[in-house]
Amino acid sequence: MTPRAVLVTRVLGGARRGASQAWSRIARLALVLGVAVGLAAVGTGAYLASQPARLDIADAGVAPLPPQPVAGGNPPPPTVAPPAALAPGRAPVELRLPAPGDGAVAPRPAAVVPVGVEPSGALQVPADGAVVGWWSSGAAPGGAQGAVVLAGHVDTAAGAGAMRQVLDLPLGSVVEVADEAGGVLAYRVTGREQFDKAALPRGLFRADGPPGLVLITCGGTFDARTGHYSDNVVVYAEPV
Amino acid sequence: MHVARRTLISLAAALGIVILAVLPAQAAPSQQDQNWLVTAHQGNLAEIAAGQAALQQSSNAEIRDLGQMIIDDHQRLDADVTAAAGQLGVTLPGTPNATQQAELAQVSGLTGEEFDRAWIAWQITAHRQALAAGEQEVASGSDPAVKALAAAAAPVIQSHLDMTLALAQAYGVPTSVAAGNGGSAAESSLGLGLGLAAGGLLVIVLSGAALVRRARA
Repeated sequence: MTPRAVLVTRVLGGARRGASQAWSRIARLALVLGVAVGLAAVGTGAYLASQPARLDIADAGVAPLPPQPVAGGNPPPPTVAPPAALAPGRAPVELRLPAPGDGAVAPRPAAVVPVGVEPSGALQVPADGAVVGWWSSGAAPGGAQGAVVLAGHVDTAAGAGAMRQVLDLPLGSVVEVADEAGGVLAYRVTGREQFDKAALPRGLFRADGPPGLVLITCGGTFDARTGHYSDNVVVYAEPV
Repeated sequence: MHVARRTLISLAAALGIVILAVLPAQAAPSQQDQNWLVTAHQGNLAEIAAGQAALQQSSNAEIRDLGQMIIDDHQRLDADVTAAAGQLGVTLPGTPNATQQAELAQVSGLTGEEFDRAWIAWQITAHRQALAAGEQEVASGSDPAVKALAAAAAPVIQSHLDMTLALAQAYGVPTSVAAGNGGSAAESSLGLGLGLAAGGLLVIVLSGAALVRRARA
């Protein structure tokens, strides 16, 4: 081999070794980066997995609530209602929600039963998730004044409850309430609001003012340990 | 308010007497008329018993006052119903019906605020039912005297309903609503989180293994 050939071989060999070393460094860096990205993914994943389940519904429309103190505390003295517009209303027996969209099937009508208040102050919501409770010490459908309050489960251990679909009702949807006399009253959805369960406004249960419909169910954070949601979702509707 | 109510009740009573005097025994009241007389009479008996329960068991002044008013008014209303039934030859039962007796027993079994709330809720329902029965008699009864009694009783019953609704606002409004205990409607990030964590672990293991192999080579 000529000295020139030896030189060429050495130079080329050196270049090849240099290139291979550079590639090796890049691969090493990539692998280290891989480990770092993996660690970040494990951390983020663990955080997400530890978060409680949530059901959030955006507020919408106009909340027709007059300013009212939060339920509880000292009750105001009872006011005797002005004498009788003779329209006491009738007990509701069925809640009919519209189909969630064009071509969709309307949910099965939910039976409505009268309910009262527990000694704790909690409204008695029927245990059967398919059944809706009507607060019978308040306004009745067809009555001259006051808000008809219907409350039902968003879900139970058996699955979605009668009020699950209420959360998805667009403003302007028409909800129907059938009464015990066979009449059907239509209400148009005008608003939606989410409240901390501990701060449910007592004005929701008003017996005076213009006639309306108030649908109450649950939302917010679901605590799997206690089996309760943190919030109430309230949907307002007014007679069509 | 009280004067107006008294006038209303006196008018109702006077109207009942005048009608009964002017229209003596008709041929035969319809089944609807007879049913309403029985329903109204049993309703009055149940209301009077409810009023007495309020006097005996409630320490709430408003509820006791309303209880006394309910006793007085329904005794007057029932005097007209009983007189009309006598004139028309309709036999009236001597006691409230089984459902009303069960409700009385159930509410009377409670004490304190629990009694007050249950009593208010019971009276609201009972007065709504009485109004509905009266509306039906006015719409589909046939004996004018009986129909007039039903019409005259309506404002009195409505005033009781208005007062019990006002009491419910003051003492019985729900303070909370627990309407979900399944959690299925809530969106959980558990699955996403676990998936992400598992993917991350896999990347760590593969990258780590490759690094170790290179270090040894």
